[in-house]
Amino acid sequence: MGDRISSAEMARAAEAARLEIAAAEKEDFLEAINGLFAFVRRQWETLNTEAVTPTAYVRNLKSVCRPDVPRASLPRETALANAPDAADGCFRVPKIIENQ
Amino acid sequence: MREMEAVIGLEIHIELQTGTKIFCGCSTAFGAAPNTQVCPVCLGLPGHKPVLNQKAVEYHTRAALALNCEIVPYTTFDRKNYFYADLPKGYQISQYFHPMGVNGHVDVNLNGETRRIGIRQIHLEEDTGKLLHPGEITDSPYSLVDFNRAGVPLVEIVTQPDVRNAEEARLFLQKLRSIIRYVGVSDCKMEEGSMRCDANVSVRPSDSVEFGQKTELKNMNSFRAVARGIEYEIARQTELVRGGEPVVPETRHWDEARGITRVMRTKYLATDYRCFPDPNVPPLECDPEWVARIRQSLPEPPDARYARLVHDHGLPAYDAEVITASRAMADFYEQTVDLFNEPKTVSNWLMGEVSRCLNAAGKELEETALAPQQLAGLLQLVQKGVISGKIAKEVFEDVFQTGRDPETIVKEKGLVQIADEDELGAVVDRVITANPKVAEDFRGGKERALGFLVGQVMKETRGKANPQLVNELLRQRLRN
Amino acid sequence: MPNDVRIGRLHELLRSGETTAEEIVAAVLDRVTSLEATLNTFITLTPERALAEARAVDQRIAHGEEIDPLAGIPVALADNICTEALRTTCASRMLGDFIPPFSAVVYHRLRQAGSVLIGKTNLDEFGMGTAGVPVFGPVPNPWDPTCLSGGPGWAPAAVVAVRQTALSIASDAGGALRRFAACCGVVGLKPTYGLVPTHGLIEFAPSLDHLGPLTLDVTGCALALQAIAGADAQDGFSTGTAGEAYTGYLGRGVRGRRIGVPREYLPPETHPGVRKAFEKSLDLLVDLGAEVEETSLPHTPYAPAAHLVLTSAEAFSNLSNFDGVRFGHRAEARHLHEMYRRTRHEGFSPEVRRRIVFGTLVLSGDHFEDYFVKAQKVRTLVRRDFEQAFKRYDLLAAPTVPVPATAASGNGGPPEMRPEDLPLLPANLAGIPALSLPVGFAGGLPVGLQLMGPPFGEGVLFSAGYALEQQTGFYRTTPPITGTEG
Ligand SMILES: [Mg+2]
Ligand SMILES: [Zn+2]
Repeated sequence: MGDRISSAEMARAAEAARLEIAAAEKEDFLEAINGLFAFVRRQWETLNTEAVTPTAYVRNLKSVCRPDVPRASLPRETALANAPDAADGCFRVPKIIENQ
Repeated sequence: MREMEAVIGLEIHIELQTGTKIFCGCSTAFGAAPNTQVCPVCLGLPGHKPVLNQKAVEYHTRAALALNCEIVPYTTFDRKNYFYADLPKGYQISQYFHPMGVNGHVDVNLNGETRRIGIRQIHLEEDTGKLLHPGEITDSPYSLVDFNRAGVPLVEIVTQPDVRNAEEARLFLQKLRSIIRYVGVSDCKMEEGSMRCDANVSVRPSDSVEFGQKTELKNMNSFRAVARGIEYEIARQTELVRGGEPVVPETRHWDEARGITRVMRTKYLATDYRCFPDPNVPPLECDPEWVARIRQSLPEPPDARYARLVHDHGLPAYDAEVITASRAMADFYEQTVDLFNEPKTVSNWLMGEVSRCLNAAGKELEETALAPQQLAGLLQLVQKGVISGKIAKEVFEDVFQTGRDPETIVKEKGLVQIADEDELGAVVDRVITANPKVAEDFRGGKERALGFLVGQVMKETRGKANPQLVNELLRQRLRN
Repeated sequence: MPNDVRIGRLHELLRSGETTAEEIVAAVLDRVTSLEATLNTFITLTPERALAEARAVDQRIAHGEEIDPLAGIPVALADNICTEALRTTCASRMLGDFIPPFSAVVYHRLRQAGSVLIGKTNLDEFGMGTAGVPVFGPVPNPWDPTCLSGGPGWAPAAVVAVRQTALSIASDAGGALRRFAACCGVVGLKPTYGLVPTHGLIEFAPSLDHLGPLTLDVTGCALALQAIAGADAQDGFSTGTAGEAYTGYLGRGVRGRRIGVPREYLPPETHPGVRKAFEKSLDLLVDLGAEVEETSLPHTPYAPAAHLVLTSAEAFSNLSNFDGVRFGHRAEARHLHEMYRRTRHEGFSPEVRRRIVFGTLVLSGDHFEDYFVKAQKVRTLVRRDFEQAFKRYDLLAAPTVPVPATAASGNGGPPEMRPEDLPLLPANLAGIPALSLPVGFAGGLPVGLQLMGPPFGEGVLFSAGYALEQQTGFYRTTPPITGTEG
């Protein structure tokens, strides 16, 4: 904790989130993101949380289950109605090729 | 040259046979028209909320217990984030941080020796959709996505790197399939994709304790393919290492048609899944009493059953192994023996006629209407001499096809054995008269000639003659 | 046009036959028409459907049916709440003409109760409270139409303030609902986490997102909560029993109630006018018999960073389904990978993309423990602060926002970095209920009082809010833009 995020590290994260960062906005993005990291570090500078258990869920609910009972699925036309591209009752996506 | 050995770890995904998906009420039935079993949850539409299927948890627990795993008392459902066209939400919900079952094992019988394969973990997760494309995935101008399978509950089973060769891998998978089917949570059909296996394969000098560089093997769609794929990969890696070349850590596809493994480049493999607990799914706390109840409801495991059939029923090891390979077969066997207490006879029938009819029909025992009462009834008819063993096979064929009661069939078709001495004696006399030469041969000491005459009697009576009586009568007449 | 659109009053008028649902709906639709050019509060309007639904309610009344308190009441939903067969945009290019095939539980319940949907309100893209150029344009503050500092975010509060509806439902992941209620001079409630099911809300941070009502008065707020609260089988984290009678708490007063005032909630930036209005409301509470005492929630200063880290991480994952495959925007591309990147580049504004990239980084191997897990630990501390405080106090009180709307700092960064958002974020981290109600003015703009209670303490919040409201009568005040008739 403490180092700046490098441009390469930001690019890797953007890639993992499938986000493009245009060349023109790269600088701004890097500045802003390092600003966020700096903000967080500053705020927690003096805080020791070693002995604290993390909270993932704020309500203490456990083992919430439903019975294995079928519910109507969507009619196929409805399921596909919002699809940007569909064919043969399926969602259609462009060619899947190797990375880069 | 140093001896080389392979180190193999398997990852098996098995679809659970719940009625509905893991987080929604869509059906899990196989083979429906594309995208007809989908809803906002399993399509990952904005605003959807997943709610866990109780039965998926129960089935997963059954599987974990059957694999001798410890059940972890607290688990979360975590998001494994990556992008792929068959993954609707951009993340898969899986038990990443706390797999529900750990430290299990499966014993495999290899050439009379028991090998214990460790189960590192078994966890519950959701399946992805399916990609369809004309031709090869990378050549196809587009792909079609069917999300019917998305959200079907899966268990992922990860073994320790305890497997040493292809045959062991195959036997382990068959045993695993048998165990999972025993506890009734999946049909484990590799050809329908309800059981899928990936293998991590590496080789090393056999005196080494370090692991070699491994590759991940995918796309093996049958037990045979798993064995062939692993065998090929071991040979390929061994050659590389011997030639002083490095093994590249990569994912390789088994190409069934060409019988080789190839580098697979279609998935943008994530190296960091950035997992965190899914804020939409409350964690799971396993009540030990509930787990105990599940444990109690489990059937006797195949290994124990095998031992019992050998020791208590006196079955040969081979018979016991075949019979206990499937729970349906073993149950059928025991129920039949309860009604007709001749274990070996029942076993012979199951491994013979019953298996032959099943193979011919391409069915599993549980998919037929055949009941133990029918087989036992049939065997009793033979025992009582009402029908002959030969007729019994004919009657069984009918029972198998129509599901009718054997006694009814026997009566209806007039198949009751002729055991009346006078009636049969007349036939025997006719046969002797019609075959004087053969009769002479027998009298002259040719024992084999009798068989022909018995055959002729059977032919005349359309198989209904009691063979023992025919034998007796023939010998009696020919002695005179 | 009646300016008094308190739900309870409208219900009485409907029951007594003094007015009809059709008249009420026609009147608010008139107000929509006359102000929409100035205010830009709606993304989608449903006037014909609203009038038809209103007439159906009138028929039920004519047949002598007993009607629900929300029957015939006009309602607006923020446009990140799914409405079956009706476009839902999240004010993002990403969703374009997305038509949800299902309705949010909250909308389903409102329909069951007979309320009438007027339209879907404008909001910050995905309700993230970010700056930047809004897709559907900005919304001015109804009290000062030259003030645009709320972006489009305060539309769900503005529609109530200017009487374009009697009830509005919006989300609150980082205090937005309360912030805008305070800045627009209306009542807004962020309920206990899970009390109002968020099934059907297009969330960006599910562990912090809530849905709640905005109304003219506290009674209306209680009536609305009554209709929308309670567990639903489609939402695993929803809790509470449906149909609890929250109006039963209204007349109970605050006598003997202990109220803590956390000093961390009055930062040095607090506007003197806000401080004055706040102190005046505390005096009123004391006059009504409450005990007020200064206290401390020591981990409050760490909350904004924790909120920023957690919401960003969840946003990274929760917005991954926006991939151009099944719905929403899709960019032209030669192959799948390019399609993802282009689609998400074109569909999300830079602010959203920045938050996602930050979220991706805090979940990455190198930063996971130092940022994500640490934020979860801060969450524990913030929650513990409240648990401690509620052993001593029935309620906690603070200005909802320490500065008036015009003084809001529009620094372009995420709201967590604005000091004035500090008092809003802890309630989201802890999942406790928080009510904002108007208590005065500072520089001509409304000031809100935030009352926070323990989990499921909504009733106590209503008792105190109602007692105060009886003194201030704030609901009688209308923004100048609304006109004075009625
Ligand atoms: Mg898996
Ligand atoms: Zn579904």
